[in-house]
Amino acid sequence: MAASTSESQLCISHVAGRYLIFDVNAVAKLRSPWHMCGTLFGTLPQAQQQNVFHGLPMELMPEEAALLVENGVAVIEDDTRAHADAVQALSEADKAAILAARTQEQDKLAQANLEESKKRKQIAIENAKASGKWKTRAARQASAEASKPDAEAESLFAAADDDNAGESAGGDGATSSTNNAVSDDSAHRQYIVPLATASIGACSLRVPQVSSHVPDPPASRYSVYKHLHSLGYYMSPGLRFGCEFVAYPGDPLRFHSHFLVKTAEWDEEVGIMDLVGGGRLGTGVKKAWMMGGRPDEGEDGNGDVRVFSVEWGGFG
Amino acid sequence: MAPDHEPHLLNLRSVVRSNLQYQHYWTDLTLLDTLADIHSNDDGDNAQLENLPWPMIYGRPPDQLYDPEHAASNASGTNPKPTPELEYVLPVHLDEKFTLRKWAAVFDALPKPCEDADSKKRIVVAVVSGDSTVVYYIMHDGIVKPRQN
Repeated sequence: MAASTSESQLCISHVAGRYLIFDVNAVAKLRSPWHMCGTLFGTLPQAQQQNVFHGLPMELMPEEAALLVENGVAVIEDDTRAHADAVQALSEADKAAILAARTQEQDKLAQANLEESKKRKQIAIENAKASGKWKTRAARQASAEASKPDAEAESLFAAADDDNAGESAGGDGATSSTNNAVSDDSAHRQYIVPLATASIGACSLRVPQVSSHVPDPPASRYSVYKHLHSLGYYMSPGLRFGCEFVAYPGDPLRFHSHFLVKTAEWDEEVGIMDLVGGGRLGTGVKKAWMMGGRPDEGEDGNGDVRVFSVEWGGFG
Repeated sequence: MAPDHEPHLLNLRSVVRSNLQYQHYWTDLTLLDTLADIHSNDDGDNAQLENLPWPMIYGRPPDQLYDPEHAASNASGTNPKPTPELEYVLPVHLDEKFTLRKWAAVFDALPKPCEDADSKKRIVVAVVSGDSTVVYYIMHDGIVKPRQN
């Protein structure tokens, strides 16, 4: 069941019930004509704590995924199957090529790192010389012996020791340490190389699988989402304000949001306290609380979505 | 005519009426029970004896309640204060639950504000709690951008 997806269709990966976008071009396309910003939540492999600016993947709300599929803009891809099939489809030669590509990347990183540290060392030596703290060989030997005669340490120091020998010997030392590292793979290849999971070199790691899964958000949420989306609002998840959506009148980079949206079934009972809490919170952050839903087909205005905007009265 | 709304709703309304009149200095307060009460304010031709979905109050706040335009012009000009618009007030109790159907019915009973096409129907929801505190919220029928944004 190879891809029947046309090139123009975006691919939404369905992973553990979440809708994820892994392609930066898709992110751009969703933002511009489709005014969907999603939620970026990818961290860097080597800086997991850095969580202010997240990157790919981007998670879409079920409503967004549903709207895109409904409009034929995107297809849902079964991620588990795509990976399983890709792994099965991989030949031994492919695997070897992938490993070689990774090793090459790691070697490149190791080399860059080595040159960087060499440069730093050189700068440190220059600084030490400039400030007059640079010790001659004799002085250093004296101090080293005084503290702890360590043969191994001496041999290490010996490489970049003398004033004149510093440059040339430093180069030699670097080369020899590179050789040492190359002989010891585990030490040398400790660098984590972020590999794109879509493809490595010529090997595609994905066999796109159009899923039979159809996003099925709750009807009331979806109808209100669709209504506001059709009017040009940008919607984002409402957790921060205790609602279902936060609606922006334009791109969130340019506008503050206007509405905290709560949705309900047409005959669902909503407590007045929700209105008071939402209205007061909304007014406190210069927004309005909005409650909306869609009447059942064939009654109350042909099933058009109806919304109500609530703000604090300013007194009482 | 005799209003045949439930007594507890009428009681709730009298609490809100007193609060509006004596604590917030609203004027021209009238009680609305039937559709006729609302539409007689306009022309009185289409008098209907049907009950409103909810007993309401019609009155004039001391200052214009919702006016984004005015807020902008107030900063620059020193125009004399225009007469505040009359508002529809819906008294509800904090413990009540409303469905969207009910809110829609409340708005559908009100006349269209015909000043310009953009203006939406508006009510003031007066929420009464057990300790007789009353809080007021403005509710619009449709998408109306917040005042301060």
